[in-house]
Amino acid sequence: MFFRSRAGFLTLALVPLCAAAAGCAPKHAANGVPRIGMVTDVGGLGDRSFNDSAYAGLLRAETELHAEGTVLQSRSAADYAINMTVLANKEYDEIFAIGFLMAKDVADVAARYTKRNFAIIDAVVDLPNVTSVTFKEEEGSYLAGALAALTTKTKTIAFLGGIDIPLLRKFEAGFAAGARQIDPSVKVLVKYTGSFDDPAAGKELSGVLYDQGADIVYVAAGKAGLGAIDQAKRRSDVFIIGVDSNQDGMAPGKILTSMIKRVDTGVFRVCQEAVAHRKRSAHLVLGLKEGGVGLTDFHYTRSVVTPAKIAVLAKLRTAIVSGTIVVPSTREGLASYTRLPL
Amino acid sequence: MPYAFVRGRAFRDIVIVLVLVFGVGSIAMLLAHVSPLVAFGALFDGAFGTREEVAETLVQATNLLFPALGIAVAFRAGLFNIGAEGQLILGGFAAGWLGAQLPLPWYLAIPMVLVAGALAGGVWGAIPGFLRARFGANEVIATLMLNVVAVLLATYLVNGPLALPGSGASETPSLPHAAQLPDLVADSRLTWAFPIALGLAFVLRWMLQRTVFGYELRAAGDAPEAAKRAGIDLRRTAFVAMALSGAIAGLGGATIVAGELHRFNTGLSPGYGFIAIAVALVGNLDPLWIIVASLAFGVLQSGGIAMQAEAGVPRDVVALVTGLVIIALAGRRVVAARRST
Repeated sequence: MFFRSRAGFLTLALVPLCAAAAGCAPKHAANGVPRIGMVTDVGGLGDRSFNDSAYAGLLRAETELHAEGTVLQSRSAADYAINMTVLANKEYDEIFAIGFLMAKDVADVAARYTKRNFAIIDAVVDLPNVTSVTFKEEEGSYLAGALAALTTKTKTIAFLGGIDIPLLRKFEAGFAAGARQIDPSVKVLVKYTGSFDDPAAGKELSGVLYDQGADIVYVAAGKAGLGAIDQAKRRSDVFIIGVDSNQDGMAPGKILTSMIKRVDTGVFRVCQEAVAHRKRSAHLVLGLKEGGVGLTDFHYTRSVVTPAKIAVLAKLRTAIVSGTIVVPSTREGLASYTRLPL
Repeated sequence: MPYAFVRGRAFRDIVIVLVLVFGVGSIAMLLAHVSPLVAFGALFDGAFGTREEVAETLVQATNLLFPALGIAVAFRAGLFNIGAEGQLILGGFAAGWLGAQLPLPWYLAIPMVLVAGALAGGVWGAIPGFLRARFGANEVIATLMLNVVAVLLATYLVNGPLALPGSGASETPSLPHAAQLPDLVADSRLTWAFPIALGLAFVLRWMLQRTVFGYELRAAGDAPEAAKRAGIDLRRTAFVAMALSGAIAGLGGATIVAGELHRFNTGLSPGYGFIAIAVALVGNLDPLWIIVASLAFGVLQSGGIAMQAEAGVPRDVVALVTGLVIIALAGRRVVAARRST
């Protein structure tokens, strides 16, 4: 049969390919333009939140630092490592992994590509060629909790999280601590949707929280937040507090404020270090002080957020920045948190 | 009704594939407003440009080679196994879960992880094999459906009973170093999975061409009526072929977990089990030609992402071309089978 005669030829054809795998010389990035790669998580661009914010940071690096940016979107978790590997092979100067879901993949690829630099958002990977960027979400959430406690009429507010993991508990603890600082008698309800991509669950659970008496729900649950906003639109005298990017305009007047997480700032900072060929930071922690988190300008809710409330928030902000207030980032920390007389 | 798979003129298949890849690919690139020369340049540069890129191409080829070999075994027995994706995922799950549980020295850990993957994939392949053998249930539908069940089952297990506290990702704990397949090329993800897959292809070719079981399997696929009259137990052959097919795909999943990801993640496959159908058909269901086909599709897979990064052509072009290859080659086989019966 014709197969037999070709078997030898096949084996021969394989040999040069394997030899090529062992012998080619690596190429170098052309013309000195810094090249920055970014791998999105499965949320992808257009999520109006986390990934879009990271992309904004990359665009800023393109205009201000004259870098060349490339984004590879991930369809499944398998794409994380593959996309990073492709960018590492293409000699990118910095490779961003957007999201804690990629922590293990970054650790894996970075350990194999020791000459490349990587950065991960929202997780800490302890390798010499990885810059970890994390945020003090608890500090921004603290201000959100304080504002909610100042605004609630039912003396009940609520936190609706995505998945019950340490990252989300930072939001929860900060929010509850901020409310306690303003008024310890305000009740803080807590629920988790169990995922970041289920608007129906967000709608249902925010409804439950409103029915239980909360009139302000702080939602940190990715796309589930869209369902919660939908729920708030159908009710009167209730508010949502948005998260990650400025979501205030998505339901004007219904979103009290948004706790903005400046992923773009984090991305841009790392790009600056990469372009300047400075020694990369091992871990960038961005809080209120660094402009990494904060509330919006209350553009649509000025009637509710009075100058008096804004003054209180400014005072709290100063106290956090100066270190007078240390915001708890865990449930244990929250349990032992006592309000400070200001 | 058993399928009579007519295995045919490899040359015509290759022409079809080349026309689809370069012809349709070019049209898609033009629609994305990129010169096909630039885009294909980026694709091949991304696949072969550097030592590391060749290594990544071989990684992708390996990931396709395992399920393609599994599919070929079933197809040669006349069974249209399109459940390789699910078999691969469950194989990966078994490997990842078991591998993370037991601290063993490498010479026990690595075989255990690989065998666990093969067993899990084998069981998942054996289910439609049993249904086919016992009740004559159509294996196309059973395997297709079981893909969904496999993903949901693995997702449930890693998020439910086996969930890691404090992790938001749908995955098992990391494998200890001893259970990880060693790297083959520095600065790449290429591991010993590649030579294992090559070896497996040669073993399968020997099995199909030189053993009694291989003969029975081919006879059951090529001429089921004649095989039956010659005393070959078609039910047994169907069951064993499906179990073996699933085991090979499951082994592939185990090598992805033990070699590349070092943990099981529910999203470990970007559709290897489906692309592998095209690989198996382009390889004319012959294990050695499938090696060549898997290298070609490995080029498309690794180069496709580089093409997206460097030339801005969405890598959906690659998915489009792969899908058309499946339709063209599988379609031609069905037409040929109709004519012959």
